[in-house]
Amino acid sequence: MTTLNPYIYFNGNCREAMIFYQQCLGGQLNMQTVAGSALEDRCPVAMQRKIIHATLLSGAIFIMGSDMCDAAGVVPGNTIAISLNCSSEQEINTLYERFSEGGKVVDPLKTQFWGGMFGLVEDKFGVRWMFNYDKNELN
Amino acid sequence: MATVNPYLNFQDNTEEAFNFYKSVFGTEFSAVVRFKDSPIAGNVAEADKDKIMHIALPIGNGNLLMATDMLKSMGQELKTGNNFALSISPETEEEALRFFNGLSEGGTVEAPFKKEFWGGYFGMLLDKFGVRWMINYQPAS
Repeated sequence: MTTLNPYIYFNGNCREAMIFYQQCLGGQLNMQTVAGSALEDRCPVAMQRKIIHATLLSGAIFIMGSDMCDAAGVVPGNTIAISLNCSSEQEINTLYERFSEGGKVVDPLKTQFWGGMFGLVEDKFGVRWMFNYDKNELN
Repeated sequence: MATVNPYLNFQDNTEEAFNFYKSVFGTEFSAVVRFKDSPIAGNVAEADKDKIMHIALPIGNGNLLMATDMLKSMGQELKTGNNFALSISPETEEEALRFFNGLSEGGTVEAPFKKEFWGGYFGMLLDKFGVRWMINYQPAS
């Protein structure tokens, strides 16, 4: 089965971000540092404790992250958001609140014209998250 | 339990981009909503009425690639970053190569699709619409 998952690049704070996402979403977090990886010898000392590859698996959610960004550093944009399809009103409220901490609300969570609840948050790491819940739709 | 899907923003060319993705992934749109067909049609500039408010393309079994057109007339400005890639894990090597070659057309290959030190096949590219893709294929051991 082909799968599609988001991969997020960080400017050296991948560890902090992935721990934050685990606090928001729960699940199992695995992080591999540059030290101990096959790229260890090719990376400067300052990179050794950085994250080469991180995965967070929580139920059907699988997101990945890394500090191995472009040499010029990470520039957050607004071309991609991670959309979370929630299965209850309680879940959408909880997730929206957790991700908003220290971040910026772009669209406040509310019931929209199509009948579903929706909100958009740019978290404190510059990553955009969408929250969706439609009680009239089977999840 | 929550599920997660990527949502893309384009400036005016969502439809062109999604027709391209449809041709690569070989699936059919599960939703296409134009601004003129939405409840906010009255608030949208005439020139933007045919633009895409929401489009969804199923990929694999259960994932949805979704997008909308950002409208300059509504003060929405696209800002391209480099902090994201969409990672695709195909079922077979043949499918992986087909997706990689398909998505690369007119774009920039950043890492050619080949066998990597961890035993899997990997390739990365920036497509012609500015979306970065990773193709991962892990043969069953």
